[in-house]
Amino acid sequence: MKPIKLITGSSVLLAILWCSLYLAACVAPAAQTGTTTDSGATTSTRPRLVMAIPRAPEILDAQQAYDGDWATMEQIGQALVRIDNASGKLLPDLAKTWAFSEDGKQLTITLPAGATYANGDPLNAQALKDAWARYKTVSPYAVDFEAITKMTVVDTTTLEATFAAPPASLLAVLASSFGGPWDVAAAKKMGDKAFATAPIASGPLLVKTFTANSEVLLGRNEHYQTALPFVQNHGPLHLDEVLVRFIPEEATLANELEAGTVDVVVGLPASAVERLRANPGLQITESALPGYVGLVMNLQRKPFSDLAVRQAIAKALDRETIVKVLGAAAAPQYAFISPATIAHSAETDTYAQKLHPHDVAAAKALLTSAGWTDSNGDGIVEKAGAPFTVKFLVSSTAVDQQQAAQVIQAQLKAIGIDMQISQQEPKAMNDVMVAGEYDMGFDTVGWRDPDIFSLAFAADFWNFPKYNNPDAVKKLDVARYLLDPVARTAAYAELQKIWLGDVVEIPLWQRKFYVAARSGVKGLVVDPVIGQIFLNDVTVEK
Amino acid sequence: MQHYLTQRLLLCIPVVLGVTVIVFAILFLTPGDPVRTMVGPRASEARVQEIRSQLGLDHPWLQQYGRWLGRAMQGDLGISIAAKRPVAQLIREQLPFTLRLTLTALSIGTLLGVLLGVLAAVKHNTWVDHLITFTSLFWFSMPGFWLGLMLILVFGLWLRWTPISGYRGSGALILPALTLGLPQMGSLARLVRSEMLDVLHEEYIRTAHSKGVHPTWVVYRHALRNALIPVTVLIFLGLPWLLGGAVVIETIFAWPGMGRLMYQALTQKDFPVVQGLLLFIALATVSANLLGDVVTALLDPRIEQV
Repeated sequence: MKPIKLITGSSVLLAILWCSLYLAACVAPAAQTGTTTDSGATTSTRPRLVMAIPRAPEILDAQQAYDGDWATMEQIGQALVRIDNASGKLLPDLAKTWAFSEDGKQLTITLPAGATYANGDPLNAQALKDAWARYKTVSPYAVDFEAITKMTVVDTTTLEATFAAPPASLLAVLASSFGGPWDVAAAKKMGDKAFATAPIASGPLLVKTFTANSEVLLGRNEHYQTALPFVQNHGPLHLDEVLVRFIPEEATLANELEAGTVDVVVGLPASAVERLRANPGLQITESALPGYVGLVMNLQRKPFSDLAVRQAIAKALDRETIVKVLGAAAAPQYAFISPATIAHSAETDTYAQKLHPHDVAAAKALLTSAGWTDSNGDGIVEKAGAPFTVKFLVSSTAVDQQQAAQVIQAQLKAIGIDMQISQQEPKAMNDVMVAGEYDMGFDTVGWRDPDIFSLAFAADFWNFPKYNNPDAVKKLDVARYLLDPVARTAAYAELQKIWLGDVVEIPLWQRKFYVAARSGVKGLVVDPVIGQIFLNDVTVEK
Repeated sequence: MQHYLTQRLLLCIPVVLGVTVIVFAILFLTPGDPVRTMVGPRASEARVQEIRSQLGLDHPWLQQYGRWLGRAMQGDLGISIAAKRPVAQLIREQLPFTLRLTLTALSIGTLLGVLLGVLAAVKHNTWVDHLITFTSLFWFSMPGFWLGLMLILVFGLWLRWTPISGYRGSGALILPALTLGLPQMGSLARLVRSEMLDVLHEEYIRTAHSKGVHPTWVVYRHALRNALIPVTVLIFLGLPWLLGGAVVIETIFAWPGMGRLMYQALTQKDFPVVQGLLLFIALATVSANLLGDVVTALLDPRIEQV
């Protein structure tokens, strides 16, 4: 074989091409807005806090977003009010005062005089009106404000909103940045697309730079003011900047915290909690996400249309065993409204726990009474020759569901039900359940306000169990408009008893939420119920 | 050469078109309603239909495909449902990160792989050969996920020599590039060793030795050039794989590249982003193949005549 002549010029060309590609890639990606500036540090503290969260937000503008998080959107935006977990009463944040009319259909909000957005634009009654009007046009949750029939600017700082009915379910929205003011004038100037990742609002921080899937650098809002009663500092933060990094891998997130390269983790994975709790340099706060993860059955399909069968399944399940497998990620839940949800009732929790206690013998008896018996001794009950075999849908991305499904499979096997686990991509699973083309599966119901059940157990769409109870729907329509927290709690307690009696769904566990901070982070306030963080008093020791 | 290049270019067109048709068709066959995702679960059915109509999603899929292809040829890949920003802009933002990572990994893998492969071939059947063969197989077999986590533990957490994750800092690229490049190195070293062993037994190599040519010159000037032909193909084929397949590495190291963008888009059924990324990867694969063919033809002009 003859030796091949190497064309030297070509190899040089190749090398140049390779280097060009590499240099092009090495050019620092352009930041979306602004530039990073570091101010000087004091002798004992440093000006920047580094936070990490597991999920990268795509949109920072609450009015366009599908969901939010405590570390970014809730620091850029500002709620008008907050909800006291113990009493259910409203507390001030941006709003100076608020008052409902006697019939509850009119809400008058007064903003502090001279308030501005982070860029200095006026934040007055007209601005708030414009913000709510924008919410109705751009938000996926525009229906939240559809009850508003009229908005009147009474004076520079006072807005009066008239509703078709008392907006009790709107309070949870007003108690988050979703219902707060976002600078509509800036949104019009920038366009919604640019505003989505560089929004202007009145929260303690504003966006300096945003790198998709990587981080957002937030700077102090010098115009920030709040009336929150549980913080000391009601003006601009002590911190100059907060860098929020998006780190999706659980092990990497925990390692960054341990190494001290991250100061606070909002949403620490449960898998790392036990190990990091033993670290004296870290403080971990435990709370819970609103709502629950529960077992849902298709009530329009046999045999789940039979109440006795549903009761049998409820009695076959042992939540303590399920939660043991999930470890620090979960706590047992029996009622539909968790402690992190408005209108929670401890009495209803106790009632729910006693209604369907774990009792395999009783479960088997119920199945027998419904006509299901194991006539051939194979361990699976049959009726009219057909074995009790069900397909159980589990999200392919939810590790807790995958773990729990195996425990549930064993528990149902103990009463003669053959459960086959089917993992599905979450959106696809959602669509199958909406269409009613399933037997059983997991349902995750989570929002701060119990009006979510008007979707989950009453509406045409998203009513996974396909539950149809006109009496319960009437009671839901009353409960959603009750402004008095005590009356509202009582109304939802009654509803929960109906749903528990009908075994509409079987709540199994509430998802725990963890915030971890290095001990050098001082003044961090973490809501012990819902895990929301407040940076007003935070300083970071060097 | 011009004829060869034209021929290869013309063959690329139906390949790319075929990929776009398959991608478009698959996304329509998978369950899930992206419009419902956009407008939220509480929107009325009328609102859903209105949005569907606005986006042209109620037209036959062939019509939708034609419209999409026409816009794509002008650089408009649509708007991301989740991020509400142009897909082309998202790709432009993430591409430099992915290029940095993949080119660095490819450089590490190629340089070390070729060197170790040559060394193993030259020192055939010695302990050097056995050691290199064993370590090549070790790195090649190593799951990327595990390798990345171990590197983070050792160099990031215990020794504190490098940043653990992210793209900031001078050493941020080291660990992810090693995680991606070491398995590549293992695979290339094995291939180079095998090709070199074949070439080193050729008559012309024996002739060069007998003529008194320096052994190093024989290896690098005569043998390696012939052994590089299949290796070159593998390198260029590996580039698009690295572009699209680095999702695990990017997730572990919180590296904001296209792999993560693709993963997020798939889980959220953000089909404009998925389509845009798949089209981009298809074009990159075809381009890399074309480049590989050209380089191979330059190395061995006989290939043009095939």
